[in-house]
Amino acid sequence: MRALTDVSFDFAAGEIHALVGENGAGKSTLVGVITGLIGPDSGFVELDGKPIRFRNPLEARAAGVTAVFQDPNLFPHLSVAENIFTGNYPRSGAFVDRKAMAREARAKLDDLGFDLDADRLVAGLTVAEAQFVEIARAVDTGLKILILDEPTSALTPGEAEKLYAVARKLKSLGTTVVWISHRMEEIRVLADTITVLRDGGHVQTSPAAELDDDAMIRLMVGRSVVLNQVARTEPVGPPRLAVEHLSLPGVFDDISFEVAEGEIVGVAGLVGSGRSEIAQGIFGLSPRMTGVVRVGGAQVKPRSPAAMADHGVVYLPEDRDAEGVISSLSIAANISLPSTRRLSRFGFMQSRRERELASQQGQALRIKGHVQDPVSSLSGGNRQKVALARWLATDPRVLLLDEPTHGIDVGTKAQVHDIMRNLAREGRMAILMISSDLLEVIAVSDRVLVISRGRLTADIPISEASQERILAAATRASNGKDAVA
Amino acid sequence: MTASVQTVPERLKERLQISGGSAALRIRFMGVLAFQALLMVVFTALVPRFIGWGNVQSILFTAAILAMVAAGQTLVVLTGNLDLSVGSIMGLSAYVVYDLASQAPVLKPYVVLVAIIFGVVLGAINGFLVAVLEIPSIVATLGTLSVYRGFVSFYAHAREVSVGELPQWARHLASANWLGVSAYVWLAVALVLLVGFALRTLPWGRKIYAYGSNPRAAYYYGLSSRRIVIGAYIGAGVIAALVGLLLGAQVGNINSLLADGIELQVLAAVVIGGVSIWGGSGTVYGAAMGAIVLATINNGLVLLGVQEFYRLIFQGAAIVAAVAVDALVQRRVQSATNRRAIMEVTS
Repeated sequence: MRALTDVSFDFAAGEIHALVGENGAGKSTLVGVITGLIGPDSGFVELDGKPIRFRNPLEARAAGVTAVFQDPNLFPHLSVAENIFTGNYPRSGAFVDRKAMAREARAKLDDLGFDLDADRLVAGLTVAEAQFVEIARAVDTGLKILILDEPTSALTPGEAEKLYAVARKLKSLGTTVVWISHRMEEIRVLADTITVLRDGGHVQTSPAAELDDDAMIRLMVGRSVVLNQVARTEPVGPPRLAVEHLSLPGVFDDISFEVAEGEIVGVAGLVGSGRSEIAQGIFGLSPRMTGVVRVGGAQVKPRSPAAMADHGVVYLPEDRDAEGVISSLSIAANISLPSTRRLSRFGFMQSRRERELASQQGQALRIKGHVQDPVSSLSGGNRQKVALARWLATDPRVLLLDEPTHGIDVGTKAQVHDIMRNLAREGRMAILMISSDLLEVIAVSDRVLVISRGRLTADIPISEASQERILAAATRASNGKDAVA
Repeated sequence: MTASVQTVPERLKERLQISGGSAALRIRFMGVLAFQALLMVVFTALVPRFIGWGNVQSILFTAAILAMVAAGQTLVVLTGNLDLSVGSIMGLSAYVVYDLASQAPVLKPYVVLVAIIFGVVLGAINGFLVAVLEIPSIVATLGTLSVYRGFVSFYAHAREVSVGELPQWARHLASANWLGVSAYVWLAVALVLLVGFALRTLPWGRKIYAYGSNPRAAYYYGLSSRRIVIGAYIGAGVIAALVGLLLGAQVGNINSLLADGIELQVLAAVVIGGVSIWGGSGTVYGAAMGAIVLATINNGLVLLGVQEFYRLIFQGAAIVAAVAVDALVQRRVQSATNRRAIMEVTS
C-alpha cells in the first residue's frame, strides 16, 4: 500500500508550521520518513539545502531533527532526569555523572517552564508530564526542527497553553516547529504556515492568514472515491441498545444515545477522541465506567465481555491481529470459538457441526478460502469477515463495530457495507459503527454521532449529514469543558 | 510562606500515591528485609543454635556463592532475559580450567585469566543466540545449559580433578578467614558492590536498565539492543566462570557435575530479591538479599531436620510468592502509565 505520494513542500526556519489532514492522510507517515523511521521509496529530504536521508531517529536527532510522538516513548522505571539524558549521559571520566545529570535536567525543565521534579520516576507521570519529558529531551542546542505529532491530544487546556508557550519560545530561538494537529482553534492561534495533506498527497501549503477554517476543512475532505448510499425501505424498530450518562474519567464524559433495532448508527470523531473506548466500555472492557446501559429495555451491567455477549452485545475491535482473530488457528476454529458450548455434546466439541457452522457463515459472508485454512493465510478483508462471522455465529442482537473496513480495499469495503446493511435491515440487529472514513459513515449510517474530546458533540440524521458538518463537530472543542482533564 | 507549608503534605502525597510505581518498587525491597527478619525470628525460636556464630557463618558462606552468581544473573534479568546456563558455565570453568592448569603448569598463575576468557566466550554465545538470532532466552540458555554441561562430561571422561591438582592459592583462599568471616563472603560483598556501582554509574549499566524498562523506547533513543544484551550475558558468564573456580576450590575433588542445578537457586535469589523478571527494575543488592534469604531458608530447614522435599516445596513457594508480588508491582507501574497505554491502543 502506498501511504504517501509525491509530497513536496518546505519548512522555513523559525516558524510554526501546522500539518493538518484527516486520519490516514499520511501525516504520521511523513514524520516517519523525515525522521528516518520509514525509508521513502523515492524522493528526498533536504536540510539547510543539503539532501539527507536518516537511517534511524538517532541520526535525525544528531542532525537536529527530532519528533515527539503521540504516545510517549519513555522508560517507566527510570527517573525523569535519566529519561532526558539516556544515550547522551553527562560524564565524569568513564562514569555517568548523576549529580550533573539531575542538575542539567532540572535546568532544562525550568528553562522550558515545566514544573516537574527531575528525580521522579516516569511511571508516576501523567501523559502531559511524560510529553514534557520528551520535549525537554528533544530540546538541545543543535535542535533545528522539532516535530510534535498531536501534542495536545491528551492535555488539558491549561497544559496545552504551556505547550503553546514552549513552541513560541523555540520559534523565537530560530527552531522550526512542525505542529501536527486536528484542532482548528490551536492551529489558529499558533501556526504561521499551514500544509494540508489528504489521502497521502500534498494538497496545499499557504500562510495561515490566507486560509480560513472552512477552506481548510474543504481541502481536508475533498476526495475522489465514491461509496454508494442505499436507501432503506424498512422502518427501524424500537430501541435495542440505549446508554445514559456513560463516563470514564479522563476518557469520555456523559455520553447518552440510543440505537434502534434495524438501525446503523455511525460514530465519527478523531483518533483519540474516545470513540473506541465508548464501545469498549459498553462491551464490558472498562470496569471503571459509570452510567446506565440498557439492552432491549432491560438494564445490564457491563461487567465483562462474556457477560455482554450473553446479553447479545458483541464488539469487533479495530486491531484485528491483536484482538480480533487468532491467526494461527483455522477459519473454522476461529468462527466456532465463542460457540463451543453450543457445538458440544457431553463436553466434547463435535467437529462435524463445527465445520458446518463455519462453512455456513463463510458462505454468508463470502469468506475466501477453505474453512480448515489458517486465518493467517487470509487477506485483511477476509480476516475481518472471519472476526465478524465468529460473533454472528452467536446470533447477537447488538453489533459494535470498530473501524470495520480499516485497511481493506475498496471492493471488499463495499461487500462489508452490504453485509452490514443486510444484518441491520433483514437481521434486525442494532449496529454501532465507529469509522474514521467519513464517506463510509455517510454511505452506511442511518444516523451519525460525533465525538470530540470525549464528548458527544452532534447527533445528525443521515439526510442532513455532510463531511463538512461532521468534521466541524469533530474538531469542535466542547465549550472549553473538557472530558480529558 | 504558604508555599512551604503546603509542600510537605504535597510531597507525602506524591510519594505515596501519585508516584505509586516508585513507592511500590521501594516497598518491595523493604519486604525482603522484613521477610529475612521474620525467618530469623522463627528459626531462632524453633532452634536456638540457629543464631549461633558458627551457623551464621555457614549461612553467609552459602549465601556468598549464590549472591555472586546472582549478581551476574541480575545483569541478564534486568534486560528482561534469563540465563539458565550459569550452573553449567561454573562447572565447565572449574573443571576445564583447573584441569588445564594441572596438565600445563605454565598456566597456573593465569587460571583467573583463563576462566575470564571462558566466561566471555560462553556468555557471548548466549548473548549471540538471544540478541542476534533472537531466540527466546529461556530456550537459548536451556540449550546451552545442556550443551556446556555435556561438553564438561565429554571432556572429563568420568575423571575427577583432585584436590592435589588445584593451585595452592585457590585452596588457601577457600579456607581463609578474614576478620572472622570466610574470605568468600568478603569477595561476595566486594563483587556485589562492584556490580552495583557499575550498574549505577557506568553508561553500560544505565543502558541495561533503560533497555529492560522499554526496549522499544531504547530503539528510539539509539541504544544498541544487541550490545546491551550481549554485554549482560558476558558479564553473567564471566562472573559464573570465576565463581566456578571458587566453588571448585572449596569442594576440592571436582567432577563434571559441579554446580549442577544451581541456576534455579540463583534465579530464585534474583527473583526473591525483587529484580523484576520483566526487566528494567531491581538492584543487585536486592538479589544479594535474596541469596541470603534463600541460604537462611535452606539452613534453617536443615537444622529443623525437615526432609529435602519440604525444603524444595518451601523454596518453590517463596519463588512463586515473590513473582506474584512483582506482578502486583508491575501492575502498579502499568496503571500509573495507564492512560499512555490507552493512547497506544487508539493511535
